[in-house]
This record gives sequence, C-alpha cells and structure tokens, in this order.
Amino acid sequence: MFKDDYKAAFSKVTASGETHRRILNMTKEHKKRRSVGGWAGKLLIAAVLVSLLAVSASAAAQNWFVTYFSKESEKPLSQGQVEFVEEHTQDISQKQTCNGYTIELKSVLSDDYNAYVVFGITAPEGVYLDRTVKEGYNPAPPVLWTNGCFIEMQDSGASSTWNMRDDGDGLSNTHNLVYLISSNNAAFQNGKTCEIHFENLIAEYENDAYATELEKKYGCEPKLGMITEEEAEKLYPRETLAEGNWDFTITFTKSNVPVVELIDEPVDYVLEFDRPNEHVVQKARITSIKLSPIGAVCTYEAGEDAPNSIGGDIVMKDGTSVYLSGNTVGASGENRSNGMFSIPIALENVDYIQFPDGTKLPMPELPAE
Amino acid sequence: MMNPEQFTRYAESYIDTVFRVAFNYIKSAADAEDITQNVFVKLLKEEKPFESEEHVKRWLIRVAVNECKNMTKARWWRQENYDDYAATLSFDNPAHSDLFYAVMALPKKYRLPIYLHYYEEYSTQEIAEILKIPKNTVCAQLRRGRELLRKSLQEVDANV
Repeated sequence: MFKDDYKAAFSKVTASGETHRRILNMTKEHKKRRSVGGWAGKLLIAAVLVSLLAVSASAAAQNWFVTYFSKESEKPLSQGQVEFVEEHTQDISQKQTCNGYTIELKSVLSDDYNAYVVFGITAPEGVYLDRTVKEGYNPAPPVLWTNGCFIEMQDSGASSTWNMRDDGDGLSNTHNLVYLISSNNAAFQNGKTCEIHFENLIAEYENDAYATELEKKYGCEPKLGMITEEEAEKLYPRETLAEGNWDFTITFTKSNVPVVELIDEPVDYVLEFDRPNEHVVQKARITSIKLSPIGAVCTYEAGEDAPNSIGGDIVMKDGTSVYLSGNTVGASGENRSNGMFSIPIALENVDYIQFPDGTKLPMPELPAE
Repeated sequence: MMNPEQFTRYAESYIDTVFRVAFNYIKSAADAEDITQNVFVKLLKEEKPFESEEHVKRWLIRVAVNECKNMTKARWWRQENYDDYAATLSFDNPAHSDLFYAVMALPKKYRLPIYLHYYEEYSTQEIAEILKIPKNTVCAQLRRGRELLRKSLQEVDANV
C-alpha cells in the first residue's frame, strides 16, 4: 500500500519538457566540453587551505575557540571577546570511529544564523596529519577532504567553509576542523537541530617536485586556469585515508547571543552588480540590520536579479575594521544577506558599519547590562 | 562516445529516473534539471561498454548521486526552497501530497534509499551496491526513514 502511494506521489516528479528536449538533442549538439569550474574551485579551496595551515601552532587553551580566534586575528582577543566566547561556547562530545579514524564533534559557538563548529580528527598512530612525509612533496600538512560534508538543517539551506587547524596537543595524528556555517533561516536557534554527515576521509598533498616542473613549463608559478585538469590532479594527488560515514547531530542550546538592530527606519542604498556585458547600478533599500558578535543579517528590498548578499565593513572604535563576508547566504524568496565574521567581535567596540556604496550606519548605544 | 540510437533509448527510459534521484537528494527542481543534463552528457561521452540496460540504469543513478554530492559541497551552492515546484505538482489524492511533503522533510540519508526501494524497487543489497554503503546501513536507513514517515503522517492525520 505504502509502495503504491509512494509511486503515485513521486510519479509526478518529472524533468521538465525542456530538459527532455535538450537531452534528446544532445547527440546532435554535443560538443566536447571540459569542466574546469569543478576542479578549479576545489583547487582554489585546497590552495587557500594549504596556505592557512601554515598558521598552525601548538599552544593549548582552556577554551580552544579563544586560542583559535586569537590566531585567526593574529592578536589577542579583547576581554569582551574572550568573555563572549567563554560564555556562549556549547561543549559537545560526540565521537564516531570508522576504519580507525575517529571524528569528534567538540564544540559549537553560534547565534541564530551562524555557527562555528569544531571537529577533532584522530588518525591511527603513525599517520601524519600535521605534515607531509613523502619525499618530493610539500612538507605542509595534507589538506583533509571528505567525499562530502553534508549539512542538514531545519527548514534552511546552508553555506559553509572550513579551516584545518592544529589542535595544540602536540600529536601528529590529530587535527581539528573548524566549520563556519551560515543558514538562511535562523536554523541555529536554541532547540533547533542540525545534522552533519561526513563521507570518506581524503588527504590531498602538494607535489612540490611537480610544481617545480610546471613552473619551468609555464615560466611562473602554476595558477588556476593555466594548468590542465590532469596537471592539477598530479599537482595535488589525493589519497583515501578511510572510507566510511561519520554522522553527528547538534541541538543548539547557547545561541541566544546579544543582537542589536542597527536601524529604526529603512535606509536607501546603491547596489552595483554585473549582468552579462552590463554593469548595473540599482537603488535598494535596507530595512533591517541585526548585528550579533558572530555575524550580521541584513534584510533589503532590491530588484529581482540583484545579488543575494551585501558586503560591508564593521569599523571598530580603534579604527580597525572587520569585513563582513565569507559566508553569505541569501534567503529564498526574500532579499536577506547573512554575513559571518571570521572571529567574533565585541559589540561594545563597534563604531559603525560602512557599506560598499559609502553608506555609514552608526552603532546605536547598547543597553546597560 | 555512445552510439546515438542507444543514447536516445536510454535517455527516453531514464531521464525522469535521474531527475527523481537528483530531486530526492538535492530538493531543488532547478538543480535537479542541471544535474540530469550533466549526467546524460557523461553518458554520451562514456566509452566503456555497459553489460546490460540495468547496468546503465545503475550507472546513471550512481553518477547522479555523485553529481549531487559535488554540487552540494561547492561553496556557491545553497539549498533552494522546493515549495514553488511542489505547488506545480497536481496530486490526484491529498494523501499523496501529504506523503510527498513528509518524504521531502526527511533527512537526505533516508530519502534516497526510500526512493530506490519503493519506487525503483531495488533490494537493500542492490541499494547498498548502488550507493556504495553497507547493507546494514541501508536497512537501518529504511527502517528509521519509515518510522519518521509514520510519525510525521500520523501528525498530519491528527491535524486534519
């Protein structure tokens, strides 16, 4: 009975007539194409991660996030930042072991829309996650990949990026992965859950000897778009460390962080973006900006094809600024841009927000505690 | 490159299968359309011979799943709301509509095994081979998925 109902329901799910037509015409229109975007994107992320890994160090701290954010900002956190991190870190210890590799979901720091999530990876003894020991390869640590890191949230889409960082325990076979995840629908509110699934663990190395070869061939450091897909695969060879699935569920309990609404009436804004062969300057209207120490959610009215994110600088009272970017994810059906900071900021130290068109929004006075 | 007549025959038979696999995985009709086209581009370019039509079908499903994984791990990807697409589906029976929404509300790891089992009628062993996961995992996912569906549909009934 269930099978019949299921078939009846899903028989309605079919590809459009246009897709049928395109596919059936492929034999006539087929031209050999190379898919550069996929590997190029991966290569870019890999390259960024390799460079970020150089920042790793060995000190451990009571709250690992404090150490991590200090290293990211390359300076000690302010007292306000430390207090915020310590107060709102949700410690979790969920461990799963598969084929000798243990992944532990350690802790989470989140507001309603954004979350920093730390995973620890422990490889079998003798496996080096902190450096490459193969001759001719870059001595930097391998970049860890998975076949997929799938993030499922309640009623929301996700945008994520991750950093590999030394966990500070001095062991070669352990490392941390820090995920920065943004949702478009307040998916991390207290009581909500988020599932994170990893599939297979893969190490990606950099073949130094081959990089030198490519440098000779191209006359400069090999870059994206310059080398072929085959060359990229040889430059960044991959090795499957462990096959398997590691599944985690987070139920958020400490997401009620301070949030400040920056405007009490709509603010006009000039949005610039590119259409094919056209630079567009369009009027938009910001209707809300909610700023938390972790990120900012901006709601705005704009044309239909306007980009779904608005960047900006959070300018602090000491003149330094934090760029609001990285994880921007637009909400489906409305213009909402959610930006996450690479490190949490202290709200009391914010002077104003400046948007790319020059619009400045001052920070309102914070309520006394 | 595959022989055009063969390609057309496979395309006519399996475009909707590939689309449903992608839609179940990615919950976006627009992305599922893109993935379906990519999968058939790959089929057209495939040079290794297939042993049977069933071999082709499983290959297409596997490639579709891989394409979905690749898409979802790209930094630019974000999950679309599928409500607009769902509104275009004219269900003959309200129970089918409830079932559709209940299935789509399940976590991804349950949706695909359920589709392969109940729609494509693959056994747990076959699903394990297609998805390259242990058979016990498939059994657990089907069992858990059914439990969640039952609970979800009971809540729908209770609210009517």
